[in-house]
Amino acid sequence: MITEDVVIRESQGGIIICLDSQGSFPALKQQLSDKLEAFDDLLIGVQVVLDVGQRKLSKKEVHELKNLLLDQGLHLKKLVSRGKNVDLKDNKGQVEVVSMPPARLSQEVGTSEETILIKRTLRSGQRVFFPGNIVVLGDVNPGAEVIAGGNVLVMGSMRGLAHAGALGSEQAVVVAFRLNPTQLRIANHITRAPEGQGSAGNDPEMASIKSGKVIIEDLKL
Amino acid sequence: MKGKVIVITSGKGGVGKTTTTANLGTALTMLGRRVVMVDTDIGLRNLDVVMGLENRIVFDIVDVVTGGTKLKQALIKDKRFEGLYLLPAAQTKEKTAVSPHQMKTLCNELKKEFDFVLVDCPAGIEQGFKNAISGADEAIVVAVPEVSSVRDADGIVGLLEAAGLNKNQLIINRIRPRMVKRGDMMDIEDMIDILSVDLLGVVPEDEIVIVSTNKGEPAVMDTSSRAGDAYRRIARRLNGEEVSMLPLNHSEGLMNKFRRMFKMASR
Ligand SMILES: Nc1ncnc2c1ncn2[C@@H]1O[C@H](COP(=O)(O)OP(=O)(O)O)[C@@H](O)[C@H]1O
Ligand SMILES: [Mg+2]
Repeated sequence: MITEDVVIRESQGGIIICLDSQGSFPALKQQLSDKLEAFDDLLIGVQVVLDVGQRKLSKKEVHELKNLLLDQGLHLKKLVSRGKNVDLKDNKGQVEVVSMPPARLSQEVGTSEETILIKRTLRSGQRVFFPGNIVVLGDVNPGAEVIAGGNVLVMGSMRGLAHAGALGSEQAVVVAFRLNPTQLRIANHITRAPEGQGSAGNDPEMASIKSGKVIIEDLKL
Repeated sequence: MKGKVIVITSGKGGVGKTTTTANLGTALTMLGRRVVMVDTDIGLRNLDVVMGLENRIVFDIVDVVTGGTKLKQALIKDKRFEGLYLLPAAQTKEKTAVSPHQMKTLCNELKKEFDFVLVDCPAGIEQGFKNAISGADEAIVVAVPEVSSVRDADGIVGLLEAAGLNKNQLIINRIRPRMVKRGDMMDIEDMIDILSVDLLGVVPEDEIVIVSTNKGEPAVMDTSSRAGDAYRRIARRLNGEEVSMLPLNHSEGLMNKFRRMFKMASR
């Protein structure tokens, strides 16, 4: 991805699209729209941070990019510029534009010791990946996926797919207020909920690996 | 006057979006409101057929958004009801003939003139869906009491939320009271628990819906229709009235039964 002109990265609650500083504007537009097309409906309605790097953008070009995103159902939330090269006049405050030193943005995408907090219910078709820990303040519904390099903690019902230690850690755990996943993975171990089993009760449970197997037990605090 | 744009959506097809749009549109005008129904199912239009207005179509939504036709010219007035209009979908054009941006402009235009703009959404989550929701203020999600439909509805609510639509209400369609009584149908409580959205109403399975659809007369016109009755009650709720939910005399849902069994087994 890095070698291409358009880099799309997921960040908390939205995506960051980095545009290369070189190349013609029409070529860039084409690449951006191809990329967005490939993501298809996964991204609908998502807030986008556009990182234009050092590129010079005219007011018209900013407008074009905004419309391009809108046609894919995406909203431009922020425009990040590494220089002072974007024509900001007459923008009517519709797009928030910030200038940022080059390093800052990449730091926003976490390293594995970090934890992200997801303050909503994850619904069918939604997928969250994070190299660190994931805490969900809500439910994870059937058809939704939570994949963490570290631990997964769900404050509501875990009914979808949970994968803790997705980068290989067998120490990772999945904890949920109601643990009733369609599938549960820790590192490279996979288990399914036994056929027909409803959520057993209201007690929080924890899944971990013990002697090479995924086991589920009441969470003792 | 500033009305509300409500998109009626579901994910999967055949669960009752068009039926819901036609019945709620008609019922709301019976309550004295001005309503326009917008069919965004380009290529597969059928709201006009359900409303019995097919033979009056001259212009369609694509003619309007591409600028050639005035909105007033394309709107079909339903002569049976004061204040009820239909903007039909195009039958022979590409789905991509309308953009989300154009749809938004259209909805903003319509809500100046109407109390309710009901947008009938096509099946799926592609371009047609994106178009349909782009001008909406709120959404009605239609689901039938089946696991796969609830899964679809859940995905749709997720997409709606991601698009910034947070007032999403649920209509559960095609409930069969006898199956509910036997506990053979997905439990309404469980559906609401998963979807965690407000329940706007429950519509029973009713043969009159099929008969009335074929006649081009929405079921709300038939006072003996149970589904029609349910839709009239839902329309009153949309109109701001407090209307109690009809007792469904449901005994115990399948899931609850399971739950109880397992609780007992694990003791
Ligand atoms: N409550 C109901 N009782 C009986 N039939 C229904 C009911 N709701 C919808 N139908 C039938 O189901 C079919 C699909 O409904 P429709 O409204 O066209 O779905 P959608 O617009 O979601 O594709 C139609 O034939 C319709 O008559
Ligand atoms: Mg339909």
